[in-house]
Amino acid sequence: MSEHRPHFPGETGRRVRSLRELPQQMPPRRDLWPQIETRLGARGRGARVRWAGWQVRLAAAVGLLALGAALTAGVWITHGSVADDRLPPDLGVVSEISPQIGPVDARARAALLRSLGERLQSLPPSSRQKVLADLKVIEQSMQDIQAALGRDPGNALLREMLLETYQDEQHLIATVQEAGVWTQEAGSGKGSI
Amino acid sequence: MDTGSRQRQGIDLTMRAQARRASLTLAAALLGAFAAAGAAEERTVQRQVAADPRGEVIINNVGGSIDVSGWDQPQVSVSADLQGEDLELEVSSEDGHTRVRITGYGNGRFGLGGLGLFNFLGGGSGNQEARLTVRVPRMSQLDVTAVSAAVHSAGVLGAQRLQSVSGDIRAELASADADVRTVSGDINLRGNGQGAHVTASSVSGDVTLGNGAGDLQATSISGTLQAALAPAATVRLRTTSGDIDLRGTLGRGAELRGDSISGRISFQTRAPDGFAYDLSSFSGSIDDCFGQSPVHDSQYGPGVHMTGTLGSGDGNVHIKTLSGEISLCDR
Repeated sequence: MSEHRPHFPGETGRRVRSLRELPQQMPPRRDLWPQIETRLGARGRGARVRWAGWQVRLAAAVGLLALGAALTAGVWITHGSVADDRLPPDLGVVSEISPQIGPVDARARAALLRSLGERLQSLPPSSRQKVLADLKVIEQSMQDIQAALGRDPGNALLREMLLETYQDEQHLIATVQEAGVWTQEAGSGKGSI
Repeated sequence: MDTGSRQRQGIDLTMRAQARRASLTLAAALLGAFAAAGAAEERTVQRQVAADPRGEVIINNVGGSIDVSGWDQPQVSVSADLQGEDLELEVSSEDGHTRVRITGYGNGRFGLGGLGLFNFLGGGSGNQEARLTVRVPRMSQLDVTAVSAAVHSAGVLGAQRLQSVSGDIRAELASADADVRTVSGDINLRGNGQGAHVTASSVSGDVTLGNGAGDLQATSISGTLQAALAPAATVRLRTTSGDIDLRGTLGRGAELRGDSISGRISFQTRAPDGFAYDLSSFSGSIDDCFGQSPVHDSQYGPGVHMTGTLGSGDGNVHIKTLSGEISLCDR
């Protein structure tokens, strides 16, 4: 087995016995900063030349505003009220699922919750609101159970409930995904023949 | 003010008045177009096709209603009240499968019939909807899919698979299997007292089963579950926050299970051969009608449970909650 030894510039092969024996400063073999500074300066000057005109800046601002407005309108037309459709910001707080569920499932849960946002688009707005409310109910239940588990870690009833509540959430997400398929089937008439 | 100025002012006023009139006319025309688009005319279409008496009938519709009933003829008869000029009724039958569907949803007059705008304008189907009345051979298997349409079935003896996103589902069940699911719609089922295997799930809707028998598996997150079974065989009821209420009798070897996090669970079940019970709640209470007191899991912490056996203990009842109350009675 070969022994791994640190290698320092200027090392003479002498064994270091104390930190004090190490050099206080260690200059690089090549000083790259002067070249970098030169290049940065050249790029900055070029940029100033190209963007000097106020007309250009005004045009850019107008363009950005127009692009922003178009994007906003596009999102609004495509998805309705964005605020209504987003998952509540406090949802997904229980990202660190207890060891009773396991880290792999916690990752799967996070992925499922991320995919839920777009799936919700396929629901009628009233259903969407109810599903979001129910997700919060589940989330709150998980937090309650985890808080109880914090006080009584060995409680088998709580562990079982946490796992089942997690499964409820998976079931809900699966139902929303299925509802998207139902919507397609009902709209396009694609039956199960 | 000189004459020229007065003339110029007069011309300006005339032009402004004309512009105002033109704007009003344009606005009125736009409003009229929208109103005409909104007040889509309704028409009734009817179709009838030969069908396998024990075949499968598949029905798809987005908005409105789907009303299915069984009859003693080897035919599927459909009457559709269509609201929306783009909607069409299609009925086809092949190899034992009869398909009834409404097409044309989302083909709006504005040429922007994508689903996004579809949702934006009217929460799904806008002004388009179809009210379907379908008669199927009594022994048919039924497969119904809807979005916001309400679903109703009666007199169908074959297996039923009914699903709607937000529409309510009401169905009469026979002894065949039934699988009924919604996201936010309520589910109301009525059995005929014969053993069946019923699965009913809703995310936020209520689920009710009356005059049922046999196996039942029902779930809801926030909706209530109510079931009456006589006799019950294998029953599994689960909610997160909704209440659960079960009444009926237990068959031999019955297995009943009720779980909720914060919902109240009440089982009122008679059992000729008795049953064993196992009830537990972390922070809720346990109540019974046979005079047993619950036992605290710990002297210092929360948690109560109650176990015991009535009669010969042929059946089993398991109930657990986190904070919901539990009530069990054998009469």
